[in-house]
Formats: sequence, structure tokens, C-alpha cells
Amino acid sequence: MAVPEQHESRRPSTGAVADVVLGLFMVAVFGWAFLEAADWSFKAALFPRIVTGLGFTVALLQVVQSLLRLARGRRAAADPTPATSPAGPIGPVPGAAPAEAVPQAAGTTSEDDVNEDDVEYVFQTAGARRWTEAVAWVTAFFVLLYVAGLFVTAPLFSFLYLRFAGRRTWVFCAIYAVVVGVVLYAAFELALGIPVPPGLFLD
Amino acid sequence: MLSEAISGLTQVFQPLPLALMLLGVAIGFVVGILPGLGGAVTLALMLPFTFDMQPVEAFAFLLGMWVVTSTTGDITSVLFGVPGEATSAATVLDGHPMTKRGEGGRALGAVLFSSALGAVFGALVLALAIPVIRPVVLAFAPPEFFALTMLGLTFVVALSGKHLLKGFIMAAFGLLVALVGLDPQEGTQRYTFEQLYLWDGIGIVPLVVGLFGGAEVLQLMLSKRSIARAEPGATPEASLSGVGQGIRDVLHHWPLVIRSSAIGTGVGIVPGLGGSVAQFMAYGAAQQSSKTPEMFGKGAVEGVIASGAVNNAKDSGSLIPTIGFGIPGGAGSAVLLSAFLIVGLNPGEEMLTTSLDVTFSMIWVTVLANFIAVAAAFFVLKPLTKLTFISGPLLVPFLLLLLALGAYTASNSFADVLVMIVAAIVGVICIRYDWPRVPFLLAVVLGALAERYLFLSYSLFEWDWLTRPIVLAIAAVMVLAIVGPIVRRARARSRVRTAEQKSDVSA
Repeated sequence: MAVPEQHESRRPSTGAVADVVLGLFMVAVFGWAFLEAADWSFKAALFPRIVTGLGFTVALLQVVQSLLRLARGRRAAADPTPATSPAGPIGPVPGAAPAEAVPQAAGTTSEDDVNEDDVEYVFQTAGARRWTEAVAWVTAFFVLLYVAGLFVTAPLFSFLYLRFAGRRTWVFCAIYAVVVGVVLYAAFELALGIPVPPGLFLD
Repeated sequence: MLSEAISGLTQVFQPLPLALMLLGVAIGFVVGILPGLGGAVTLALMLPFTFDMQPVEAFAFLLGMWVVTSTTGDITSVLFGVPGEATSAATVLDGHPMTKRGEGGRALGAVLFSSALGAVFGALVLALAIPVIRPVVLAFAPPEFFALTMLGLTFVVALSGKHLLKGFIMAAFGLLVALVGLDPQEGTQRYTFEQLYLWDGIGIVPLVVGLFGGAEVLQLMLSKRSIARAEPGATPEASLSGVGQGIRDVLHHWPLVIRSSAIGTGVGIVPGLGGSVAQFMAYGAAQQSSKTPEMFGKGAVEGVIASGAVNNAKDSGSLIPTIGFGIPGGAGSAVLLSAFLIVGLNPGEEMLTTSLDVTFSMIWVTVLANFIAVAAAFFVLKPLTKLTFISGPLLVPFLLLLLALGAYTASNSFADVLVMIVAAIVGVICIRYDWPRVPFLLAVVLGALAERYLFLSYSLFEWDWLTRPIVLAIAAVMVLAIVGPIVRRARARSRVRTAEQKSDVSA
């Protein structure tokens, strides 16, 4: 947990810009949803109006807050003396305090291995190339699943992914692919009879 | 109540529930060891398979699986220093140093046995809580239940996240997602975009699978390495003897077991605090009360005992508000709540009166599953722990297929897969830019309930329900839950400032 925060406090602008953008997005979503509810009857619209009205207000507050933070971060960056602002907005918050305070008191032995496995850490440090690769593979998987169905996708994707992303041997990939295909077919088609994505051509 | 307790036990001991529980335990066992999958995601993946089951069968299966994940998550924490579950992180602090010292068996014996005792303690509290909360639940009318759902959401926002505003936005967003579909009063289409699929609303299964599972898989794809990097000396072959010594340690430190279990149960009851907080609270308490606090973090068996007991007690604790008021405390119990609704059980009055035997069967499953898992753990430990060394890319195709199938089987529609993908995107953005996911999920689960209670309140009392004493009291607690952190944060900030000014002066 500690690493991403330090990382952020060194460059407060990245997180703050994202906060502004996401906040604006939420403002738009809630605003649209509130207007959408205008045509409904009182009964159907009561809860939606409360929810979207509150959501809109809070999201607006969030945008204002992160804009202020952004401005403060800029000022702090321009002013080289150690300012209080980086610690202020993202400083420790009481709710999370017990979890963070105790391991620090218990010693730093665990921090390295825990942080390296943190999902936040991986997401923040993976470069653009890795992100593109991962997203491309995932997209390919779901497109293939939609077009060709499960029983084609399972062995084919396993084979290609392990061969080219996992860099395994051809034989290993072939065995993995066959096993995955056979197990899935046996379990879902023969044993359980549960419908699986059929693909466009078998539907 | 005793007859329901016995009836619950005999219902669990029927062949089918028992077999399903064993299956659940087996799945939970593996999932707990595999760091790529969490308890909540697996629960969601298994939900579609319970559609045809009777309530007792469904919960034997689901609970048997869920309670075991936190037990076996401790195993990899001890052996490799890699927590199998997020809630097993505290076990690493002392369990892993013990393994390095060649006392892996003792640490495992201690953590597993104290886990089992923690589960029994939690189950006992859950059983004893039933006569206490029953009159409370029966005295509550829709306004109070509406206030409670809001209180649950507020707690989750205020206690689990660092940013209050973001938490409330995510909660409101979750409620908005819950609104999608035909409205329950008049059948008005709300936010359906003319899509027939959306008339039924957005399913909880694809949502949980994407929100939590999607991010896990992407993490594996990005980091591209084996889940556990073996440190030198931390091989599965590390000494596994001394299990008996570990069990004796637990018996020797019985007050510690009880105190850690009590912390776990107590924290579990409060929605939003969750396991990651509970484990370190129990760990800290164990350190403070220890005669040798300097040993903590270097392989103190007390630390291992405390973190083992707290985890399993917490699961039972979180079942109390879920069963009594229909307010889950975290991701796992939120999925369980939707399981209640799937098999036709209504939390609250029904589960404490007419379906009390089912409730008791759940308590029995919690205890039984833990003991079975702990017993099995001692036998099949070595081969199973090797799962941790499977390299990440090897698991990716398997996990992707699991996610797709889990989402698709929810209602046999590719739209479910799309919902899952969108949820995964939301989940990844949440993690990357530090927005909390749990308030969102909880709000989606609670949205329909909250609207029903609000509507009932309005039709019964118009707006007069807002002045009912219990509603006002709950509202006061909500205000405190929101204001408290803000005040404390402001105070902490001013303290930092004065400290800096002082250091400036002295410099």
C-alpha cells in the first residue's frame, strides 16, 4: 500500500488529473440519469431522483475538490520548499489507519514482498507496451469467443497465448490446448449439459 | 431454538448436502491456495450452479467453499510468504519467518488449528446472536430497514475507503446500476436503452466476476511471472514436522485465540471494515499483550495464532448483519446475500423464524467445513502448495475461460459477458486511480432492497417515517460515521502542520 502513495505524492498531478476526468464523467452520468427520470411517474422516479440527485452533487464536489488539489499541486511544484500540500490531500486517513499503522510498527520485513504483489503496484508500473499487449489478448479472446464459440476459442486461445505470450514449447501448448478443450467439452456438453457461448455459426 | 439447531444439523448430514459441502470445501481449498482467485469471485462463479438446489444444499456448497478460502490462504502465507487471500497477509509476518527457521510445520499446525477454533467461536457468536437480534428485527418496520441499508452503505464508504467523496460517488453509481430495468411498482423501463436484456436489470454474477476477477486476471497478464517467487530455502519440502507442537501452542495460548476471534467477529459485524483491517487489529492486539513483543515479525507463534483465528471468526461475524438485516459487510457476503435471494430466502424476519433451521444449517456448515478443511490440509498439504508455483501466463487462458463461462452461465446470454467486461473495466479503473470498488458492489446488491423499503415506508407513513426514533438514531450514527473521519483527518493534518512548524523553528 505504501508504494503507490509515495509514488503519487511525488507526482500528484497524474492522480489528480484522473480524478478530475473521472469526476466529470460521473457528473455527466448522474446528470443524464437525473434528466432521464424526469418523464417517469412519481413512483417510478422517486428513488432514481434521490440517487442521481445526490450522486450529481457529490460528483460535482469531488470535481471541485480535485481541481483545488490540482492547483495546489501545481503551486507546490513551482515552489521548491517542502510544502504541506502533498501530504495533505493524500495523507493517512483514520479509517485505514489501523491496517497501516500496525505492520509498520511490526517491522518492515513484510513490506517488500507484499507491495510487489499488490495489484495497484502492478497496474501502476506496467508500461504502455504491456498494457497494449494484455488488452489486445483479452480483446482477441472475447471477439473469438463471440464469433467462434467456446469449444473453438478454448483450445485455440490457450495454444496461441501460451505459445506467443507465455513462450512455451509447441508440444506443451498443444497438450494444454487439447486438455482444456476436452475437459471443457466433457464437463459442459456431456456431463452438465449447461449451455456455453456457441459462436455465430452454430447458433 | 434448540430443535431448529438440531434440525439444521440433520439437514446438513443428508447425503446430498454433505457431498456438496465436500465439493465446496475442495474448491475453496484450491481457490484459497491460488492467489489469482478470491473467495468473492469464486462464490459468484459458483452461483449459477445453485439455481436448482434446495437452500440447505446451496449453502452447504457455497459456505463450505467460502469459509475454507480464508483458511487455506494462510498456508501459502506461511510456506512462501505469499498470501493466498488478501485477508491472509498478516499471517506472512510471522508465519514465513518461522518457515525460514525450519519451523514451517509448527506454524502451519498453529495457524490451521487456530483457524478452526476461530471458526467455532464465530459460529457460536452467530448462534447466540440469533435470539438477541430476533426481537430487534421483528420490531423493525420498512423505515428502519431502509435506514439500515443506508447505514450499511455509509459504513462501507466511511470505513473502507480513503476518500469519502469517491466512496459516496461509487455507492450512488452502484444504486444507479441497480435501478436499471423495469421498475417494481409500475413496470416503467428505467435506463434500459430499449434493450430487452436490460429489462431484468444487471446481474450480480457477471458484475462481481468482472469487478474483482477481471482485475486479477489482467494483473497476471501484466506482471507475467509466477504468482509466488520462491525465496531461497522456502521450498514446499521445508520441514513440515512439528505440526503437533503448533497445535499445543494454540492450546497453550487459548486466551489469545479467544481474543483474536472476538476481534474478528466484532469487526466482521460492522459492514465495511472487512478482513484486511481485522487481521492487523488482532495482530496488533496480540503483539501488545505478548510477553515477547520484540519477537513479532521475526517468527512469533502468537502472531500466527492471532492471524489464523481472526480470519475465520470474521466470516461468521459478517453473516450476522447479512442474515439478520440483509446488509452484507463485504464483497463475499454481498454475493452470499444474492444467493439467499436466488434460493428464495429473505434475510431478516424469515431467516430468524420460519427458516431458522436453514440458518442453523449454515452455522453448522461453517464449523464442519473448517474442520474438514483443516484435517485435509494436514494430509494433502505438500502437493497442493505447489499450485502457487504455477506461472502466471499458464493460468491466464484457464482463468479467462472461467470468467467468460461464469458470466455466460448466469443467464446464458452473451450480454452477460459484455456486462462482465464492462465491470472489469470499471474494476481496473477503480484500482488504477484509487476509487473504491466495494461500495459500488454493495450498492448494486442493496439497491433493489433499499428502493422497496423506501417505497413501503412512503406508502405506509408518507414522509412521517423520517421522524421515527430509531430512524433518527440510525441517521445520527450515519452522520457520526461521516463526520468522524473528516474531523480526525483535519486534526491529524493540523498536527502535522504544527510538527513541521516546530521542526522549522528548531532548524
